[in-house]
Amino acid sequence: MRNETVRKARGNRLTAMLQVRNEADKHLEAVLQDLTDFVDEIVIVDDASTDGTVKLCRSFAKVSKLIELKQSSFHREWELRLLLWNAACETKPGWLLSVDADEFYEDKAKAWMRTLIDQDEYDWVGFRFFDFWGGTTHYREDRLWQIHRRHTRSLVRYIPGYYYFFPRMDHHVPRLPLTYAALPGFLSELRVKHYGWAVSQEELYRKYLRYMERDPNGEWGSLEQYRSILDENPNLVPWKEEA
Amino acid sequence: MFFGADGKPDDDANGIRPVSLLDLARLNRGEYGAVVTSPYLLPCVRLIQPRIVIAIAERRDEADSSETLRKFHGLMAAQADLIATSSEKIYLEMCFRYDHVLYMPNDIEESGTVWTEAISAKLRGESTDVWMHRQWEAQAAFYRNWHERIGDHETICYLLASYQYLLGRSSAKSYLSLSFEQMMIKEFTDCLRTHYRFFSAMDAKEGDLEAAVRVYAITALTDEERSRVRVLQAYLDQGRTDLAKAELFRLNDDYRNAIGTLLRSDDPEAGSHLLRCYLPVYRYQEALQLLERIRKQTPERYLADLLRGTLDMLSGKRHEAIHAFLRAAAKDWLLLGHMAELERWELETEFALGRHRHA
Amino acid sequence: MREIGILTHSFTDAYNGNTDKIYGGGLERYLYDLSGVVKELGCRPVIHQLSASGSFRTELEGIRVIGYDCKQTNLVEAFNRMSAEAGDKIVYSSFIWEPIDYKQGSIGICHGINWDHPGFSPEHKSNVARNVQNALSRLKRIVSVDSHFVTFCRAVCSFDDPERVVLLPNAVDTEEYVPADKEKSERDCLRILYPRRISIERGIVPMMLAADRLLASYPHVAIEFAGEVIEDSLLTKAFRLWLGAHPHRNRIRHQAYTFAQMKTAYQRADIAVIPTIFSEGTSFSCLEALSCGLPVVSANVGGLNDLIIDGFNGLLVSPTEDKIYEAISSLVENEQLRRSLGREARATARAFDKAIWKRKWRTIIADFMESP
Repeated sequence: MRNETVRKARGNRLTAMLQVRNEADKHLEAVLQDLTDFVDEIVIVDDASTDGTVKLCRSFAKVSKLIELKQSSFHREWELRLLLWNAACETKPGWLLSVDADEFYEDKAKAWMRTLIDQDEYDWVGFRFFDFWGGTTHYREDRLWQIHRRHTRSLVRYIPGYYYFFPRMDHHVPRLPLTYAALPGFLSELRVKHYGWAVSQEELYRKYLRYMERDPNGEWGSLEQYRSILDENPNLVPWKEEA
Repeated sequence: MFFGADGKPDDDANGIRPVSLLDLARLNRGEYGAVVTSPYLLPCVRLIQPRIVIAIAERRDEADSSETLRKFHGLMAAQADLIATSSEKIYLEMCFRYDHVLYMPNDIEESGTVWTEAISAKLRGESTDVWMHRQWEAQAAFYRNWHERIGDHETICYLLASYQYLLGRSSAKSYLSLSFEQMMIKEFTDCLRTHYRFFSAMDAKEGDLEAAVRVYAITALTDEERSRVRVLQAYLDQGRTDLAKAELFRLNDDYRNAIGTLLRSDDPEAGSHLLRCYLPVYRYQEALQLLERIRKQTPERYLADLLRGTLDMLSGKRHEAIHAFLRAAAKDWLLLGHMAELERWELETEFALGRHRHA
Repeated sequence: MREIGILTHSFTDAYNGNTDKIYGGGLERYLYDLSGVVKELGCRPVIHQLSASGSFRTELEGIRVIGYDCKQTNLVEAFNRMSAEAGDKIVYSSFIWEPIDYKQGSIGICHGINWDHPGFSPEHKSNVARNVQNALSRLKRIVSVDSHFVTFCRAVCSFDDPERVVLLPNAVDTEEYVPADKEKSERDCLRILYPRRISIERGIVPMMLAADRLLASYPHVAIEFAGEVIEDSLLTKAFRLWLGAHPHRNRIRHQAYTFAQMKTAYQRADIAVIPTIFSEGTSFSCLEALSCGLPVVSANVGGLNDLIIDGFNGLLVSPTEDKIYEAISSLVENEQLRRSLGREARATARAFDKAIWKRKWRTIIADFMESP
């Protein structure tokens, strides 16, 4: 490949990459349907699901690569991230979109997607992620829940030969290589809806228990935040769609 | 060189004899060595036609670091037979520019012997390469030891990578990787050009020019940098590997390797590239000799006059310097700005000599 | 009494706030003399000038002067304001190269081409051509001090009346500027005079370079720089550094003279040098040197080519260090040549006598006043 094409300003292919585990009854189908409309390819690593996740994935034509792990690597997150990354890069994408099975790009973001990637100025894009709470009409906003106040990098240019580095950690490994931070990025005001907390009170309680079990001493996150999952009256803000 | 009447009480015991500026002129020519700490003393040094000139390059106040003063100090370094410094930052920078640099830390005993050996070698007209290598080895060992003790650290790994690079070892890359990773973990994100780009010099040194150009291209964000990429790519396509290699070194501030590559090259354009390497590191003497050789190739006819003027200024030939600057200005009157440089030089000289006289 | 407005960028010294004195330059002298001609014809000259020290009104030796503040606006805008406010009989004496809103049927003066530096951009030069075409279309007459502007107009622009541009070279008072009466060859020392301001366009840089070589080659040569410096300029700094510790400092003199004193400077000199690089009309300095019977080494730039015939009344060379040095050397070494050139120089000056100049201007003004 000629070096002058490190950054292509047009005709970039977009590959979405997901890591999934037992998502069949949740948002996965909607996410894949949604992605089908605006990405070129989807690459998935299934972390030993025991439900119909794999079958569901296979039913989408754009899923070009699906790696099924027989044994869960959940406790070796670093390996999982690397596996998915390498699989996604093998599709020779122009850009990669890292998606979780409960994240939805707002319509405006999808409309701008090609403009965002078909340029040669920056190599990654940050979006504003919103934690929906209790349902899909409101997001949570208070001292402990304000991820939407900063940008989350989820869309990156794939530059063959660049130095890609994931810290070798068991948990809290970033979903994209850390070394993107050295490349120029664009902080967009486009929004992503995260439905991971848009669940019933019982499910919230189960999630709380899982967090406490995994990190009882708050080494990876803050105990105060874990406890706030159970807040009876969290501050909820209505979501407004934009044209 | 010590002069002035401000000898310290224990100077006698150390065998140091202060010499006044007047006495200096009476010393026998060609018998002494001169150690200069300030470029403004160079004209005095010429008086005794020393067998060797050793420049001490020290860190200066930030307030002092105007472009003009940086140039004067750079010229002193380039003119000396040996450059010594106790600042590792300056030392490393100099190692990427000149062939005659020695580290003189205050706390390492070994440097004493390296010093006498290097000076003797220089006096015999031999190269100081072996002594430079020895010091790089020592520095690399020092940081390897540190690395083993405290683990990955961005600065230690970077310094280690730099010394391994100077020594021409491939392990430079793995230490640079470690440094880059640590920069990322610690969220020092503004390091694409300072850290990542260095890989391109390493690739170039290993002869993998395709990879080197690719790495450089990733770091090329401005229009100027992107046009450099197109030039580099064209050199590769035309098989002019010397030019590509030298340019990659130059873009990484490794002027020493760039100059070495170009000196060995028989590419017809190597000369004009050499000039571009000599000028930013103030190697004016070599630049002038080169200009006289490739006169026809250079459109900038004023350049030789400017260089001649600057060198005359350094030798204390004031009138000749002014005449040369005026000649340059006759071709482009904006170059009269160099007269302001001369004025600054004279002010600084007065200050430097005055300080020695009145101290 | 009928008024004639003369528009100029400079007359009294409004650069330094001395609006009660005429500034000491060639342009100002020209306008003073022109005002004299206007008065002789029974009209009243009113000079409208730009002013860096605020608006003002004053009267100097029977000439009314109105200053227009130009600190805040650009000069062309300020000049056009003058044009709008002056009466209906106007002589435009500046900015022929700028886009000026001329009053139809007025008179313009070109004091020389100032856009003739070889290095100026083609864009700049074609802009000037457009502006000169505009002047030729609006003005009744343009008086040019040299033949070069006349040729420029003919070569670059179009106009119907062949007499639209009139050649009227600058002049010298040959009764005032006369050769020294003493025999110079009796002195041991040979004096070279640079009778110009210390400025780039006047060729000070090649002059200094040539001076270095002359002083080194000829121990009996002394050089005088007779001209003002422009304070706070890089060039002045350079000139002073050069002068400061010059190895032949005792044979270099720098002095600025008043107009009245200049005569003495010419009379003391053996050779005059006019090494202009660009922007030159029919130089007063050159005319005065000729009138004083000095052999002149002149650059072949602008209106100087109208005054000097190489080898006849002076030496005409490109304004480079080498050519200027060689020409001066040949004069230094050849007294016979100095004498013969000096003789023809004086004869040449008579053809440019001020009386002729006044007569021609009288005709032009009279014709202008009669026209509707």
